[in-house]
Amino acid sequence: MDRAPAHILVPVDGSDDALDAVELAGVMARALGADLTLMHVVDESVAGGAALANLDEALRQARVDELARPVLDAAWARLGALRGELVAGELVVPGDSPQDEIRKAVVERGIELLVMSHTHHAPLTELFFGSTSRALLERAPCPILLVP
Amino acid sequence: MTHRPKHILVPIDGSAGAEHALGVGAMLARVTGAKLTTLYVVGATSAETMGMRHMDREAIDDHLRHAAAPVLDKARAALASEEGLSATDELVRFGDPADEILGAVRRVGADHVVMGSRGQTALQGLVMGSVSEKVARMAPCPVTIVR
Repeated sequence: MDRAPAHILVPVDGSDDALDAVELAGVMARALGADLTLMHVVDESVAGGAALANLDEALRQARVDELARPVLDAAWARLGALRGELVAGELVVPGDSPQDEIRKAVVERGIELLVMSHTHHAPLTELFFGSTSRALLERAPCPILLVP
Repeated sequence: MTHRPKHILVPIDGSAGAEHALGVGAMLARVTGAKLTTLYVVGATSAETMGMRHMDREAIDDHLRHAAAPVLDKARAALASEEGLSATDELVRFGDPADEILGAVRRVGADHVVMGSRGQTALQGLVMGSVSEKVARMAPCPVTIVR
């Protein structure tokens, strides 16, 4: 990487740790002149499981957005005034594996820096300390900035 | 935690991952105006430390410097080709890589670490990214891991 990353992705999961990552990602994006994307993976098994899968596409998307809204709103709130100084967007994806969805987003969107808390949780495996960030580290799709 | 990095620490070990990390660290330093310090840890189990038991302090320092020279020279050459770096420094330590990296973070007051996901030795390769994982888990500052 000879030049600064042009696009930074920060996944959020509703935890306070993830909000710390959002704040640092915002500061880095401004410092580097990079675009910023906030991403939330809506866990389908928690979000209604089979009931969600059985909804028609529009209803399903509405339900996914509804579940993601508070998580993303908290992230935007954490960015505060920084938001106005950034080219920033959001990405909501339903899925049962945050690490797979994050990896996919990195590749598809040409993400050059991933910012996340090293305690980023995977649903149902929260006993595993930072299992999502750890899994991403083992097959890193791009540089990963881990926030204490 | 609202700062941009002011002092970036890049542990190096001669591996391709560390070389890449140095490039990323230099880029960050250039863009943010941060100081960049490279750190080479001579591993406690490394062949280079054999026979050091009977040396005095000065001889050990010389020995470490000699062992570290090829890696540091390479890093220095890489940084020399980077324009716009405000300040650079280098450190050589002896011991457990993760412990020494964490110690150096505190000692120099680094507020950002950039490192490769895997180290040089076969053993570290087996224990997948154990050094970078430990550093990321225990460092008081953000840690960027590159492949």
